[in-house]
Amino acid sequence: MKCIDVIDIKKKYIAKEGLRKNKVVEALNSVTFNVDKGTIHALLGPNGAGKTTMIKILATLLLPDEGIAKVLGFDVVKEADEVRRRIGVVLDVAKGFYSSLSGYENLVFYGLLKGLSFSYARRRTREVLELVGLEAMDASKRSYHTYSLGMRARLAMAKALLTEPELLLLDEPTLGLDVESARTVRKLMVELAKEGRTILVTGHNMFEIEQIADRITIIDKGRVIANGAPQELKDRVGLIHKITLSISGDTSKFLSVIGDKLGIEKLRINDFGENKVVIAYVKAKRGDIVQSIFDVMKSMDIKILDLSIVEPTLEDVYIAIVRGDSNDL
Amino acid sequence: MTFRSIILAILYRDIALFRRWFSEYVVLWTLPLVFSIGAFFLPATLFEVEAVVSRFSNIIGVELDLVDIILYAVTISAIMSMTLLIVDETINTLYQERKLVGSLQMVLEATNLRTYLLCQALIRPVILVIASTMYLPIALFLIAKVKGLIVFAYVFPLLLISGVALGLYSLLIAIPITFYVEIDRPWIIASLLMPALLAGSGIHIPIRLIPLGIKLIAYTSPLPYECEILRIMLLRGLNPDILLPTTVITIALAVYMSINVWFTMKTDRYSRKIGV
Repeated sequence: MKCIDVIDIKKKYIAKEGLRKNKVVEALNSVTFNVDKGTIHALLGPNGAGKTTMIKILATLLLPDEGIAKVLGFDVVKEADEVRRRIGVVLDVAKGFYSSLSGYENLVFYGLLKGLSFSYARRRTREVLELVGLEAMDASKRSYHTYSLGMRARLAMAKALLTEPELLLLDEPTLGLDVESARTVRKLMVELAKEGRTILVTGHNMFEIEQIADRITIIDKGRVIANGAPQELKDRVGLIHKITLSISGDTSKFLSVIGDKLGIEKLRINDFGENKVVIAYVKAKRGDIVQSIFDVMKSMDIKILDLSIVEPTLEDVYIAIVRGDSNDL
Repeated sequence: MTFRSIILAILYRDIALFRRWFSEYVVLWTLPLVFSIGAFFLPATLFEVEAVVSRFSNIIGVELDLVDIILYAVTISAIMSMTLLIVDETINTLYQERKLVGSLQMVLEATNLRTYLLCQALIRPVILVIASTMYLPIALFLIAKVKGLIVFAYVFPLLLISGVALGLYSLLIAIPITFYVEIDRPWIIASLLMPALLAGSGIHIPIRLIPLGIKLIAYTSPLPYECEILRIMLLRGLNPDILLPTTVITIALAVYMSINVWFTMKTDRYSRKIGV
């Protein structure tokens, strides 16, 4: 089932240039994608690509100029109240709360706004503060303006979780966080997805996205330029794998057969007497590489002492896609 | 989300803020009180107190005693603190919510701008009137015992009604400042508006002596009529003369409300178009 359905969304901004000149900025240009229920879907793209605009449209904070966006089956323009009831949002972790109120008070206020009863809002606030670790930091009673960035990000996550929403829209939830806080937020996202919640997350940390995302949509200059599971994107881009093999036996024959099967782009051999370390760059799927190596090994008198295949990272894929160059590596 | 849940949320937030800023409220109660009593009794530094009382009675055209004038001065101080708080809070809070602390985004994740602004314009002045005049029953009781409490009983509803009208009036200024024009220091507007409204309302000076420019600014707000009702009620008792200013306040309330309903609806759509 589709949790988010975005069809042909367009959005333009008018940005001021000086006193009288205005410039039209095309934030989103016919963006189409969808998000399956219970998955973590990442929205990637360079700064100014339109990620935050997309999240704001889905959160009903911004109206699209054209197109349809549906969240859990509800139109974000015509049925905004229904959408608001069912989502949790994190936008700009550095601010967004009353600075003179404590984290606890901010969340109770938000809960009441969302229609929770006073007693349930207070109880639920304690639960989510506990969940994100702010209770343990003894921070829930302190004024928001005394919070560190990490604490603010945790509070933003707590707010998004307060009403137990079916869908979470998270715009760079780990931006500027220390390693430990970022890991906590990541872990939380994975746990929430396991519970069946759907998460649409944006970010620039590819390592992080690669760890958690089930599917990825890459947008650039307001257009979707790639869409799929991380592995699918890697396969589609066809980036080169780096294979490091430590072997003993007839290396030259082995390499010639392997070369015919996989097509080696670049090769380096380090000779250590009887054993040789071969570093080869191959443009093939990981599964095909492993299969070919073992097939050849079986048919020849060769011993593999060590094998490592380093596949391209999501960052490599992202850079290749955004630059429009699949052979970047 | 329902009006009830939004009103409950605003109540909760403002009570929490009141507790946090209690010391600032003490200042807000004290300064207008000192200023108001000082303004009435400043001539007492040159003449006898009896002479001041007699002069004031002549200006008003009603025979008053010292206690009556102190009661009047203290009640006037409540209008001052109420006006300062409502105008300042309505204009600056909305601006801060949108442009400085960004908490308006949190609000709009839960409800639409129109509902929030209207609830805020109606319920917040009530809270702020209570918060800004909390000292009033105590002060009036200390000055005139039961008579003081009776004065409070008929002054307070008037403060509430004019407070709501003032809240709606201030929202008409707060919305353009926050959403339609680029201003970095809205508190300057609030700080200029407050003395103009108070001075132009004839709080301490007879209205005929006030320059036309200031009078014109003040007459767009409910304050001059509120002051007039208060003056009549406190100094001459219930009198048919209060009918005209009461009618004007009621009409003003309806006009502010109607404009705000239209304006908030327009702003809701506009803010979703440009982004909060």
